[in-house]
Amino acid sequence: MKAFRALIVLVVLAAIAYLVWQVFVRTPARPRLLTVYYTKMDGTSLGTWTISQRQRQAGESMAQYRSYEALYAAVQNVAGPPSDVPAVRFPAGTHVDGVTLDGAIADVDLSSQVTQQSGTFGENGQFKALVYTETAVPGIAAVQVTVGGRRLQTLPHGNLELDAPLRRSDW
Amino acid sequence: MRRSVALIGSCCAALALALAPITSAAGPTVQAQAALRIINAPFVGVADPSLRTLLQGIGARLTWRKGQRDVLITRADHVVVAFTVGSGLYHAGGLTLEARYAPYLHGAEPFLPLSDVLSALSLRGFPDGNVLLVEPLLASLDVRSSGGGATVIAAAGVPLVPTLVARDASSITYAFTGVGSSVSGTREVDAGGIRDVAVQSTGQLASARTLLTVDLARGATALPAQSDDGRDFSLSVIAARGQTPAPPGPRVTAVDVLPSAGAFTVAVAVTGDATYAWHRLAQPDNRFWLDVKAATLVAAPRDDHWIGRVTGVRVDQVTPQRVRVALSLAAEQSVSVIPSATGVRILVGNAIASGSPRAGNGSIGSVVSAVVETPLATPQPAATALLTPVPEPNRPSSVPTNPRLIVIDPGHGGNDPGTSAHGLLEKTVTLDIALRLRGILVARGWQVRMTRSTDTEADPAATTDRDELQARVDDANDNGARAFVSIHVNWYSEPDPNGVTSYYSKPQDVALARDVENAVAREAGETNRGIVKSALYVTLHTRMPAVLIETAFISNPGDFARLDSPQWRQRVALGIADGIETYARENPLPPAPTN
Repeated sequence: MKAFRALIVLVVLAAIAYLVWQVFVRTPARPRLLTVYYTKMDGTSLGTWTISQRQRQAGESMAQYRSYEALYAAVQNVAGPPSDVPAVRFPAGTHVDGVTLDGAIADVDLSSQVTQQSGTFGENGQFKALVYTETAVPGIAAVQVTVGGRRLQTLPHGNLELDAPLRRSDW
Repeated sequence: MRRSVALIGSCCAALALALAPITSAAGPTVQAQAALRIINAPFVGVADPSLRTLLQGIGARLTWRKGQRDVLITRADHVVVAFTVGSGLYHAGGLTLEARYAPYLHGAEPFLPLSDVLSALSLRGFPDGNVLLVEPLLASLDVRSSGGGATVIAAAGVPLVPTLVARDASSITYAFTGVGSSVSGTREVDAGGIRDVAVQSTGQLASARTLLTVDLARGATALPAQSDDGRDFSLSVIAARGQTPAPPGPRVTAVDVLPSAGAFTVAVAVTGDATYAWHRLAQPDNRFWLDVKAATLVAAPRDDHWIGRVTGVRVDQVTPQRVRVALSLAAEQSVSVIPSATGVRILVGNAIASGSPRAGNGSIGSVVSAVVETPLATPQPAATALLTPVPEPNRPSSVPTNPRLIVIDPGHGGNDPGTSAHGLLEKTVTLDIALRLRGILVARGWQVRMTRSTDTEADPAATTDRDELQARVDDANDNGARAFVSIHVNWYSEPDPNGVTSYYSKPQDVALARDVENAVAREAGETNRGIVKSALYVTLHTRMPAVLIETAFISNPGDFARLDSPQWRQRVALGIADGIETYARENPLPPAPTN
């Protein structure tokens, strides 16, 4: 009988704790917004769209959170704006394999599909938007592009210098 | 034994997701199936091959690395869906949504709530014993009138493969096999040769079929269905001549309300170019409204009410020049407004998101734009915020030691053909233009140095791309050239871009780039795309004014014909020479110092 009473008390306490948490602790999520850039089909001017992203989680260090932001931004950028927005897009199948931060430089590792192109129009527009997007993340000033984990000097048949970090001032 | 989901079927057919045992390389046995039965909310591990197969089947991609708590899924329509372990919220584009259950971590592997994954991917699942059958849905339908006709555009969570099932003078019907619909019903259009468009979903799961019927106006002609991006469905109709033209200005032809477990969507179809503005009020008056300006409401007004996160949708012509779509929200949900060429979609998330933007505007039609009027949470990069300063490269400039020397750099060569089309190689075109340019400049009294004058690399001994480009740069730097001109041919994966573009990197390049660009566009009759700053190797590392001229797009049919023409190449060479001379005339060198 005592055990049963204790169980009842425990259940009631748990229910009260849950209600208190619901009413006083749980606060509405304030979405963080992130600006993602794309290059318009004139090949040089930029457009933006806005995406929501999660807040920093409890126990997550600022470095970890910034790393997540950089990855999220890069994936969004390479995916490009919605289908019906005319934009200079990465070659089909290009994706982000990972993003690591080295101080203020975001090292964005792209899949090999990015090399399946030629022409300054595409590479200029793609990397310009990528750099603007990544450097919109607080604390990131430059982007080092790698492909398949390797640093390239240029894209095959390409003209853009990729073996040094790219900055907004490059455009 | 660990149980997980296994995919049966393929894209465009009904997809079957079966709860079947598979061997896990990560961690101990999980009673996942038993747990799913208890909580009635199936989860799927991100390392599960069947999930990868499902995503591959619908053209989506998963981004996750072992140890990460965030899982990103890029949909085929370019929207990225983000789940986070322990978070009851997930994000899809500009929308914050509340997941049915928070993803959890087992070992190092996140497990995602399957119902939310399916919802985010425009898929619908039907349990069938241990099997979850998954049906892709026709998720959007737009009708856009233009000129003397109209176009019906449909899109789904998978690439659409239409089958023509019926056609006569008054209607045409296509079927999408294996695809259900969330946009069923009849939409009155009465413009551009289309009376109405009807979507009807038939068949049982695993043999689902959606029929799209377009009723044509008298004398209208339907062209064969096409796909703009290999995924959607596009049917163009040409109206009969003399048919009553559509009223001028943009028109709101339909407003579809698509409730779902994920985003509550209100799709506003607009024909013609239009601008819009939206506003929302703060808690507790959670009203949202979007005005399409200078527009006429062709669709029927509506005033619908529900119980749920959106309690009402009202569509009305509030003034003779304004169509208003108003939503009553139960709370302060996140709202995303997405314009397109064919209208605007209002997506209401199921998560509370206080502090959201209160207003925005944008345009629909030939120019698509969206502006959120509140300050963005993301600040611009600030040098003071940097943990580690990133040094700017020091690029010296020089005074030419040979002020009459021009270095011409024909792009690519030898083993590097550059871009190509129909057998025409960039390296061939650039060399031909360069040789013609050399002749013109020499005849005008200039000295010319070529980085290559035959079909070879600039440095045949170079082992890397950088060495090859550096050899071209060295040719100009070591000989104290007055200017450096690199000649190239542009390419893009789509055929539309055309014209000449001059790229530069340094401040001292600008005048040369502008003069060459203008002269080539004028002389060769090409579209002038202007000068563009970029981090191109040869213009960055040359010390004198330099330009990289992309003469035309080999990927554009018109430009290709020009590039293939010796006469046109001669005109390009003449244009470049004129540009160099204009530059030299307007930017004289300072007098050499006397000893």
